[in-house]
Amino acid sequence: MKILVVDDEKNILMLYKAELEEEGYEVIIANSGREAIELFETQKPDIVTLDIMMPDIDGIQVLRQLKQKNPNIPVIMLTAYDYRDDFSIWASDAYVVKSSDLTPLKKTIKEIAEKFGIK
Amino acid sequence: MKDKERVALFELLKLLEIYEDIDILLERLIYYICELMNAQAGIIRLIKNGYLHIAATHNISLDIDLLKSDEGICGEVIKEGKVKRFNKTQLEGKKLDIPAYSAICIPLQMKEENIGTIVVYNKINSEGKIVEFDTEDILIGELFSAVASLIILKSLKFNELREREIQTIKIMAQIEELKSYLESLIQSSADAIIATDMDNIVTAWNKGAENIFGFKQEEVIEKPLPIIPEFLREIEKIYVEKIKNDEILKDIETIMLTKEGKLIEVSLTMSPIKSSSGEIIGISRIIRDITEKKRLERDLIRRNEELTKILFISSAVRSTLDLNKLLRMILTVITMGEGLGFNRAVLFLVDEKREVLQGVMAVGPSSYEEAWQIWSSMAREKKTLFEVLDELNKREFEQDSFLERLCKNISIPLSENTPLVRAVKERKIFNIKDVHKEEADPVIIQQLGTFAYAVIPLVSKDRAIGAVWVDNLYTRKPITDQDIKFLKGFADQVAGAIENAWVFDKIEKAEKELEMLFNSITDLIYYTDENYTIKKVNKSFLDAIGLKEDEVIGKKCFKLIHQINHPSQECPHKKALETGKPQVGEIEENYLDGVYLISSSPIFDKNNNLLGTINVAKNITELRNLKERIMSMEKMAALGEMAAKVAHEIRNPLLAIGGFAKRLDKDLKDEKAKEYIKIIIEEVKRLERILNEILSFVKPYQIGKESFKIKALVENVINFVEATLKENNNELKIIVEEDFTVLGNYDKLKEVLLNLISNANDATKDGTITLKIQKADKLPLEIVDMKKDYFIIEVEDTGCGIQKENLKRIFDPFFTTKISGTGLGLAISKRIVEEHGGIIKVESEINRGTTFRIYLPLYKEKGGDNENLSS
Repeated sequence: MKILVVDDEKNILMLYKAELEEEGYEVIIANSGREAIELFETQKPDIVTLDIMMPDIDGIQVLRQLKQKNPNIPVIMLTAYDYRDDFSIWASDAYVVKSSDLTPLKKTIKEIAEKFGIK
Repeated sequence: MKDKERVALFELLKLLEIYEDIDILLERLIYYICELMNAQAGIIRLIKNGYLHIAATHNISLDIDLLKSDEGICGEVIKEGKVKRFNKTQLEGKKLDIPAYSAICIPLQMKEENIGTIVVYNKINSEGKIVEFDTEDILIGELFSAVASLIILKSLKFNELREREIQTIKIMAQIEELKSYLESLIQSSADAIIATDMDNIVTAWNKGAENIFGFKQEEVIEKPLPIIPEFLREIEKIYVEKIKNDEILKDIETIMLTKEGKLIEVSLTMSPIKSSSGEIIGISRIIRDITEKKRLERDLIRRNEELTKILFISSAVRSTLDLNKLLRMILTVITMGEGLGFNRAVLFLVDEKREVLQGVMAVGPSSYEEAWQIWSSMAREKKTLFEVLDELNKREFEQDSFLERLCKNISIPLSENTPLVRAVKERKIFNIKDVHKEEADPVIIQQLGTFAYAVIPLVSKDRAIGAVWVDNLYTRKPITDQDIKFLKGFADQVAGAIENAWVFDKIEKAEKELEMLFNSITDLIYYTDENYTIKKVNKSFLDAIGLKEDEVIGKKCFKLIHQINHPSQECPHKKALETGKPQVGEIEENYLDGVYLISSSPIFDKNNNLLGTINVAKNITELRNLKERIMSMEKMAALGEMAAKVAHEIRNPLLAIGGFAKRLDKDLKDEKAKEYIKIIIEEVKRLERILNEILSFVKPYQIGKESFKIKALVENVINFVEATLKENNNELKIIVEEDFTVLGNYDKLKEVLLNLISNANDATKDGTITLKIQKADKLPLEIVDMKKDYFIIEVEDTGCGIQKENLKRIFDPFFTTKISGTGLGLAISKRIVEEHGGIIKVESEINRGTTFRIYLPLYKEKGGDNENLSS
């Protein structure tokens, strides 16, 4: 299963990549919104995790573009604080608050994978 | 004597039989004389008053020939007293009845008295020739003279006797006629002619008396005179005394009583009846009913006085607004002799709540006895209507007359249809002349015992407020049209006054209510004139300022409230007076310890002159405190937002620190190092927990705004979409009528535009997409803040259009008609536009195209207050 992880902070990308690869997933990382859209086209990931706050194109716009390209792609939104009243993230499939404890994220990926039937 | 002469004489003597008719007698007489004397013609003249009148003729036709008794041959003969003959010569130049050649004139004498003459003309002999009379003829004439005189005289005497008899009969008839005429005069006289003895026992009673008083002759003859009212008995005695002294009382105007008990006004002439010896044995009374005359008289007076009276009444009425007094005055006018002169008057007013006509007040005597008393005392005191009214106006009324108590018990439902109610409902006058023969109010008959009455509606300003009921129970005087007419005029006059008093009553109540209302309002209300002088304040005002009313009224408001010597510049009161328009403002008032919202409204009179202001001051100290609290909360929220930003910036590094620490923990074997790492992990967790706690109550998201030119955004967007548009062979037109500055999130708005253009492109093939920026002249109703200026971003395509049923749903999240759409594009666009204080509208027509219009507020740059984008 191929996961595209999008975040503007390289350290976080490094951490996520290490942690998720340990879980047995193939991980591609994108350091910006633009890169995320490019990689989404070229690498065809099964799942995308998206940071919302990014300097070039923020996560919500990326989400929108990804969904327009492929409405069936599962997207998990990662955020530093509560975005739940912004209904534009309703278009995403899951929502996880960023934390040094990655357990909630891993758990969510598993659930989504099951839901979408991805191996 | 010859045969012929003998026959003539015989015939002559026979004439004595026909003496009855003197004319025939004389005619025969002259005929036989002529016959006897063989004469051609003859004439008899009789003396009357010194003249000779022709009494009869033979063969002579003369019209009128009067001769003096000493004239002509007749005069000669009368003078001499004997028969005379005349020949032709002697007749020459004499005045003759016919042309004559001979004549004989015979005087007619009786006891030396000359009574006339007979003249015979032209003796004719046996040959038919006219010859002279001879002496024999004189002898015959002398014989005739005696006989004829006797005959004539006898006949005349008889005639005279007969005439005298006829005359007597005539006189007798005339006397008879005169007698019956007198009798019929007395009988048929419209005047009552009554004779009594000195003790007023009736001895004669004519038809006129029957007609006027109603008593039949047989009812009164030999009985005491029944027509003197009780209250006039004393005066009557005085009259009788005067008659005893042989006085005649002429044309006394007084009142008498009829059999029905009705009082009538009469003119009375009393004279003594004397016996043949001159002793006074009785009294004759000629009584004329002058009710009609009096009425006419009064009508005249009425007409004259009507104006004055109405003037007076309205002034009297104006002088009192006390409804009770006013009504009493009105009823008095109706019943006073000098006023309308009705016996009784009752006032009914409409009680709208109970829907009845209620008896309110009554004026009038309650019995015959009372009526006499009132009238005689009125006659004694001789008060004028004016005096009585004046008295009424000054006096407080005690209302305990019997009639009044009766009338107050009368209330007739308005649903009924008796004359009294109809008078009100139909505004119609009723004059019921006989309650037994016409439709009448049973209640009235029962309670007031009336026989005939009239009802006049009281109409004021097109509204029937009640009715006036009147009757003449005691005098039984019929209510005439004239009475009604005047009463109506009067009622019309006073209805207005009643209404006024009524309204005044209501106003008084309303005023009290208003006063109560005014005082129960908790806001401070005060009314000042145009010079800031306080005219009126409410209770709240006095309570707040801690003074009594008399310490406040007449003071200058600024001095009283603000303790300053000139009106405060900021006070809405001053502004209201200066501008003449209502002003509202907040004032912090130290002396009253609080913040007040003052609304000051100028008051104008009819001619638009400023009279002053009404000021309402509301203590908004509490409100102000609340507002401040909200403001501080908003500050807190802004602070929280900052915290959120900071927290966000911290969270990412923490995540990295914590995450990698955990990874290190797994790899590290050294116990000590492991312990240190654990500390790092725990501390990171603690910081993250604190961050979560902080973030959980701050609003986590708000778009950043900056001011930018819309044209720049449009140009940026074009670069993005050009390639896409080419795919569908669409042309993009850009029309920027005017460049606007907008305060907003550049990226968000860009997204909106991209979204709209992308949608337009999807819907259109080989068409045109127009992007237009223009000023908004007309604003849709949905715009909240109408004070701002708006511009429009319009995206128009020539595409397939949107189905009507879809049109209202296109802004819903997840609604899409596209196979590959998320259904979020327009929902997000709408949200973004709204976050910018604008609205988005859509119009579409199938196969013609769709137009989206975004209305955004214009940003007026003050410079330097741009906000940074938040991401």
